[in-house]
Formats: sequence, structure tokens, C-alpha cells
Amino acid sequence: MTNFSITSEPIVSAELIIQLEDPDCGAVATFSGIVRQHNKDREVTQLHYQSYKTLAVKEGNKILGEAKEQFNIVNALCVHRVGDLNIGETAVWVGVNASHRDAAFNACRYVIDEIKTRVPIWKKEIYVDGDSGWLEGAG
Amino acid sequence: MTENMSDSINIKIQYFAALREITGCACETLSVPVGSNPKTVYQQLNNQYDLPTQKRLKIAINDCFCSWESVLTSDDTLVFIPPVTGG
Repeated sequence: MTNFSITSEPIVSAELIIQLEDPDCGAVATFSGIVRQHNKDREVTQLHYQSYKTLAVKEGNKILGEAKEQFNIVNALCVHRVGDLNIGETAVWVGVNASHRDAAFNACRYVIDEIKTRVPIWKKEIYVDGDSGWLEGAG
Repeated sequence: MTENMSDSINIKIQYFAALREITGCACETLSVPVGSNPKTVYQQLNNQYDLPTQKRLKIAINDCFCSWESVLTSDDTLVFIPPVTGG
């Protein structure tokens, strides 16, 4: 299993965080990206995520490798969900462990920020009025 | 095997997100002139589909990020990557 993975199954953070248990680590920082009900004043009922899986896994693992090089951490994991997600479901989960909290927080932030701009995954919003659309991204 | 005398090669194109909806397919095989690059292929496809401006797209060939000027070879898989919106 690679440290970055894509799944069509629900993300269970309690199962993932176990992989970061390490007697040398005094800190575990995690981030969960959750499907929310509104975006730009429109009511959202569901999200659909699609990935270019081969390149997404490759780029995701590259980002996790960068985090390990740049911050004093022990390990970093990330899982991104694809398919249809309902409000409240976890779309992405990042977990980092380290000896101390500063490195864990900073690396966790780095990973989610880079994933959102570099990994080929796209989100389509389905609105309450039946309309839908792929989000444009920052480019 | 007979050489293709028309000086063209076949490449595979994969589409994702909005581009998949515009083209109506996840992938297709396209015959393009020898020496083609993603830029010329995009122009060729624009005759067939109403594609968005190429400015905000990135390119991957055989699952590696590439430039618009990378020369394509036979059986390459080309992907035009719309701005990503994961997370």
C-alpha cells in the first residue's frame, strides 16, 4: 500500500490513525475535508469526485515525500475519496506523525494545500435545484 | 506489418471532468500527423468539440506531466488536465 491512496469506500479516520501510532512520536496531526452543504450561496445536496487515478497516486505520493523531506516528521498518509459523496462525508483525510507538534501541524497543512492544487482530482457539485457543475479550481 | 504511409500515428486520449462531458467519452483513439504535440492535437480536437481555452489546462503523456510542445509518439496516452478541485 502506498501512503497516498484513492478509494471509493467511506473514509474511516479511526482506522487510518492507527497506522500513525509510533512510540517515538509525541504528535499526530490530522485533517479531514468534509462535504459541506453550501458553496458560494448555493445549496449543495451531493458531490461527485473523479480522479485521474494513476497520476493522482503518483503526484500524491510525491507530495507526501516532499513533506517528509521538508519537515521533521516520521510519516504522512493521505486518502482521497472518489464517487458520489453526501453532506457530512469525508472527502479527504491527511495524517502526519512526528516527535513534536510544530512539524506535525506544518506538514499536515503543506500536504492538504499541495493536494488541492496539484493532484488530478475533480469535484462536481449537485445542487438542490437539480442543476450541477464541475468546479473550476484556482488554475 | 505494413508501415503507415500517411505519416500519421495513433494516440489515445483520456478525458476527465468537464472535458469528459464536452466530448461525451472517457477515451478515444485519434490519428494525428507525425510530429504532433499536445498543442496541435488540441487544435485538431477543437474542430470537433467546443473545448475551453487551453490556457488553464495541464498536460500528461503516459501518466507524466509534460509540456504543450512535447512531441507525441505512436500509442502515447495523452490527457488534458482541467484545473484540479480535489480536497
